[in-house]
Parts: sequence; C-alpha cells; structure tokens
Amino acid sequence: MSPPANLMQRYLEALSNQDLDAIRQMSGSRSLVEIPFLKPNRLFGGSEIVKAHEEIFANLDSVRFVVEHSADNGVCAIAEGTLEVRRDGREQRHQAGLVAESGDDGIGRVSLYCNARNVRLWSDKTIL
Amino acid sequence: MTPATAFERYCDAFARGDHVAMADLFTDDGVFEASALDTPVRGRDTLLTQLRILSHSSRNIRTEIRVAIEQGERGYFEGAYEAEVIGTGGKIDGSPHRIDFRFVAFVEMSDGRIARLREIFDTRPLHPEERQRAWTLNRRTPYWDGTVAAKCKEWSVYNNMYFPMLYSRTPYEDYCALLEGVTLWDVGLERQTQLKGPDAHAFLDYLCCRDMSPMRPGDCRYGLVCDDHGQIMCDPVVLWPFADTIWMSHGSVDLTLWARGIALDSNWDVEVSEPDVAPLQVQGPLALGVMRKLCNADLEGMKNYTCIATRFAGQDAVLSRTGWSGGYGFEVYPLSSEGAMELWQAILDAGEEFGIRVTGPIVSRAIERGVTDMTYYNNSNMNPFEDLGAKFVDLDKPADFVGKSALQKIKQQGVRRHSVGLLFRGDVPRIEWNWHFTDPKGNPGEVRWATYSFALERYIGIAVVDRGVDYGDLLSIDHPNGRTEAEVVRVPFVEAAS
Repeated sequence: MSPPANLMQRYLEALSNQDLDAIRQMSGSRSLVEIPFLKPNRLFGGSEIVKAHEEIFANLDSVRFVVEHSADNGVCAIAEGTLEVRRDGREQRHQAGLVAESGDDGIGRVSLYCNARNVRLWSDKTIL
Repeated sequence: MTPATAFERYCDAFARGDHVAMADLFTDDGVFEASALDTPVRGRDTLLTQLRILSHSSRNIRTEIRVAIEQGERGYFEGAYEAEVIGTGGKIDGSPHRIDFRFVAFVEMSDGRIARLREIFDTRPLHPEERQRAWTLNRRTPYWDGTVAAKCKEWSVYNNMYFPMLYSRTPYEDYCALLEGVTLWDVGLERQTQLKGPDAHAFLDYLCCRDMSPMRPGDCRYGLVCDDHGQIMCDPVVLWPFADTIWMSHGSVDLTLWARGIALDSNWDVEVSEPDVAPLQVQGPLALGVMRKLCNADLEGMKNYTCIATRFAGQDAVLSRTGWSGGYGFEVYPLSSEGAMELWQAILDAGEEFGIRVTGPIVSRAIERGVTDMTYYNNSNMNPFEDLGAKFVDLDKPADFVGKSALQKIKQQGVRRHSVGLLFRGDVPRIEWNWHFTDPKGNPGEVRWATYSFALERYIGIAVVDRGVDYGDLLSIDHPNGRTEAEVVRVPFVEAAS
C-alpha cells in the first residue's frame, strides 16, 4: 500500500496526463472516487472509475489540480488547491480540495471537493 | 491554540449559533471563505454579522470532523455538516429543506488565532439542477440577465412577466439583508398605467375608491381600485412624477386595459397607456448610501410617499420613496428600458461597498408589517372593507368613482368579513393557494398569506374571516401537510423599527 501522498500525486498526474491506463492500474474492486462534476458523484470499483475517466478525458480539453498546500498523516492526505479545467477552448478555475486514502489495490478513496453548481457536468451521461 | 483545536471550537460554536465565540477565534483581520458565499468575509465586524446570519439560518445543526491533520500553523480537515433550513416551509412532501454536505476545510493560524478559514463543499445538490425554464408566452423584465446571473432559482408570473422571487440563499440571509443592509429587487413587472391629459387627475379619482384629490405633482399615494361590483382589482401606488403625467404602479391585473376601456368613447379627456418603464426597488437601511452615489438630487430630504424626476446613474428616471418592504427604501423608474442592464449594474457597483444583495421581495418582512399585495385574481371575491386597507375607502369623497354604488350597498348591508393576523402554533408549509377553514362556531375563513416570521420566530399568516371570528380565537387550519392551530391576532405583527 503506497503512502497517501504518493497516491494523490499519482492520481493527479494521471488526471492531468489523461492517462487512462494509469487510472485503470490504480483502481481496484474496492476503490472509491468522488467527483462532484459527475453523475453519480460517487464511483465505486474499477469499472465505474475507468468509465468515468473515459468520459472526462473525452469531454475535457484538459484538467489539472494545482496543489497549493498539502499534508498527510500516513492514512490520509489532504490538499488545497485550484482546479483548472479547459473545455471547448474555455478555461474554468475552481477553488478545490482533494482527499486521498490508499487501498490495497491503489486507490482506497479519492475525494475531490469543489462547488459544481451552475457548471456543466464533465459527462452528459450517467456513469453506470 | 492549535489549528485543530480552533476548528473544533469553531464547529461547536457554529452548531450552537454562537457567532461571538466563532468570531473570537479569528484574528482582527481574519478571513472566512466558503463555497456558499459570493465573496470572502474579512474583519471582526463583518465576521460577527456574517457568522450570525449563517448560523442562525438553520436549526438542528450537527458538525462532525472526520479527518484532522495539523502541520505547523496549518490545519487540514474533512468532515460533514447537517442542518435544517429555517423559514422555507419545507418541501412538498412535508420534509424540511436541509443543508447536508461533506466538506474540506483549511485553517491558517496566526498568534494562536485563525487568520484564514476556507471551507469547500459542493452546493449543487442543495439547489434545483437548473433554473426554472421560461416560455415565450410570458414576458421577461429587462433585468432578466441580471437576475439569472444573481442565481435566481424561482420566478412567479405577474402582469404576464417573470417575477424573480427566490434566489440561492436561505430566507434568513435575505431577511437580514433587507433589515440590516440593502437589497436590489427586479420589479420590472410592476407596470405603470399612465394617465395623461387635462382630465388625468380627475380620471384617477374616478378609478380609485380612495380620495385621490389631495394629490399634487411630486406626491405618491396608495390607492385602491375596485370593479363595478365593488371587488378589489388591485392596490396600486400612484405616482405623480410630471405635471401632465400620473402613473398607477399596479399589481397583477391588466389595469391599463381596464382604464382604457373606461376612457374609450367617453367624455374623459385623458390618454391611457403603458409606458416602457420597468422599476427596480432598492430597499433597506443602507439604500440611501447606494442611491446617493448615483444621483445628485436631495434624496435625504425626500419624504415617504414622494417622488422626483431626476438623472440617476446617467439615465432619466423617476425616484420614489416607496417600496414593498415595510421599511426604508426607494423605487427607481427609468424612463426607458433601453439602458436597463447598465442601470442594474450601476446599482450593483454602487452597492458593493454596502454589501448589496439581489433578492426577491422579502415576504416574511412584508407580512410581519402587514404589507400585502392584492390582485383581481388571487383576492377575487373580496371587497375593500374586508381588507387591511379598509380605512382607505372614501365613500363620501366628492367625486363619483367606479364601484361606488356597490360599495355603498355592501356597507349598508353590513360587511361580512374582515382581515386578521394568525399566529400559528407549529410549522406550516409555504402557501401556494388559499387555505379554507371553518372555525368551531361554523364561521368560514381563508388564509391568504402564510410565512415564517424571523422577528417572532414562528409562522404567521393573514386570513380573511367571517366577522364572527374574533381576536383571541383559536382556529384549526388545514393545509397540505396537515392541521395546525393558530391564534387570531391584529396586524401588523411587528412595528417598523423592530
């Protein structure tokens, strides 16, 4: 099990690089990813998590979480930062937080905190 | 104090609604940011106000810190917040509106106190997914874009125009903005029935059952318009802004059509029309500060129920000391809607330093003060003697007026009903239609207004009841969520200064 700070870094790199293979490798059967810009916003297990990221990478030009501060206690890592999203050539910036916990298969939990009100979701589909 | 201790105390104080204890945790120039706030809150005085409003907007608040990590002067937290919103009347199924979410929070300490607290959470689940959709069957006001940008989430229809009613805050936040600050309302749907010509004043007096003859240019006056059966059509505020022009700023009824019909082929030398005048209301104790930045006229000297024609924010406009707040404020009537959004933005810019909020009408305060709104539709089958404004009927005024003989007959036969206040002894839902009831003696009545009173910390209402229903009586009111007892009282519920 990798330290949560490492997991957070790996996940954020995979997100910004739109690296679906990396997402697949770190998503196990008991992984949980929470993203307020998706419906549902709680994705459980590798299948849902990979499908969700396929949608994200297909619909967004780019997405990047810029960490301003972070800390971890060995079980959990929390970061404060800015989420930079580019879609259809237009950039959005959101204040954001991220919480990561390691699991046996990679991601135990990754929770993105952001105010998604009045923002078009990152996928028009429901992730099933 | 460590970041974790400070945040734990902050959460505990928030749940208790102890805003003083919360503000004490911050440095004098401390900053509080949260996803639900439009702008950061800075400094002790502002923190005290904002934290009071936020923590008093809800009840049964519970907070839970699930993860806490400290790193020197910084703290990182993940947790959950649960609360029940006060004053909405709840959902259609009877359950309360709740504000439940998980959050992350970041704390920066300085000399043992909080220098910065930022809370991030998703407010999307707390609101409807989309704003209400419009239809081309109804008109938008010229300020529509501004109301959408201000996150209006519910419109009514008034004079066939969309009327922004609810924005994305709790009822208590809007109530405090009106009583302690300044608010901007889009009331472009208040249409003006314009009377021009030599007979304009006399024709006005003919349309109203109140004596309008004392009016002079520069005056405003509350009026009551009835039909020929003596039923109330609307209760306009009448303005006399120019020597040759009178406006009846009316409620949701086609008063212009009515007045034109009466004037048509008659001997009245009057021109009746609806000008392109879409008003705004700037209401609240800080309204004068905002208005002064946009106008050189002597606004301080304006008495209640007067109006002036002047330049305002670079546009020709009429300003009046009127409004639907039951308190201090102005209405702005631009003489054209061509520059509507420029006017809207100018008021917002001028109001920024005063913390101006875009709100709908604050029904809670209006009902506390006994300020209602009457239209031919929703108050149909009601004559003015049955209304709170019964004292404004001047049956003996020198001029003849529409409905006079019918009202004389009603008075002669005895007025069957009167309007009273209700103090509910429990929660009631938001009123969507009149609630009919019968008292224990068999006397009928109907509740026409019901809302939460933040001044009295309970639900209140206004009902039209049979004369047999008296003050002090206890009624059982059936409403869509059940039955609630209510005591009959006088209106207004609170005085202006409370």
